[in-house]
Amino acid sequence: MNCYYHPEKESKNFCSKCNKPLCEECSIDTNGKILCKDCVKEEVKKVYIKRKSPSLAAVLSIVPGLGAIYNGQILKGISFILIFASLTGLEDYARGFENVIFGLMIAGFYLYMIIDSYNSARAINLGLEDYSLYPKEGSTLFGIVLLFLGIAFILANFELIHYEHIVKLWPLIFIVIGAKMIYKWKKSSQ
Amino acid sequence: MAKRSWDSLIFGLILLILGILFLLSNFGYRINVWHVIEKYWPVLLILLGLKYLIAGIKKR
Repeated sequence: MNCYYHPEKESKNFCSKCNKPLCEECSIDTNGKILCKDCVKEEVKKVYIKRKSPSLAAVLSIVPGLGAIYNGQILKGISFILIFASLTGLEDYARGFENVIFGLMIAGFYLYMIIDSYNSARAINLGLEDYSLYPKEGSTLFGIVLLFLGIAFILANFELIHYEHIVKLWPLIFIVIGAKMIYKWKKSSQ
Repeated sequence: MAKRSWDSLIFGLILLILGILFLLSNFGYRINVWHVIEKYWPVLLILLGLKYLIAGIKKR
């Protein structure tokens, strides 16, 4: 087999992390362990990665979205602020039983934001790309929810629909979570 | 990692537009910027939604 970086050279070793074939020149000996230059870079990055304090992230989350912003997840933080503001704004239009539902949703979302920023900070410290809980970068479902809320609020702001109509959409939360669970179940059975 | 992201462009544009609107209203043009924000803030939700959606579709 030939070296990954020099196709013209015969390989002498394999990287002990990613198993790339390596020639003499490309083999980097790290305390008896042979690594390729890409894996060395990764290891160095892990040492220098910015540490986040999970407890500080959780405390900052008392202000909605601030914990996520502290974690460097700016867009997530902005979406958290917007969703929280939407929910609290809609609660004014919810009457009776629906007011209770919205109160529960606000409380749940508030706790979720605190837990998420705590977990995200831990994930960042471990050098994981895929930050803990929802919403992951590139979560289609989260995108659809945001888009849907945005369109609904634009329509309501221009008086094409009533805010009460958006309030009436609350059962969608069951449908979204249910659909997500079924999708997961289907995926895991394959 | 050195991929150029659209985030900076979008948020740059939003800040730019807000700045221009506030300036205009400070110099006597009859624009109520807070009114504009009140009406158009869900655009931010839509843009964020599109971002997550596009990233999700690309990942497939």
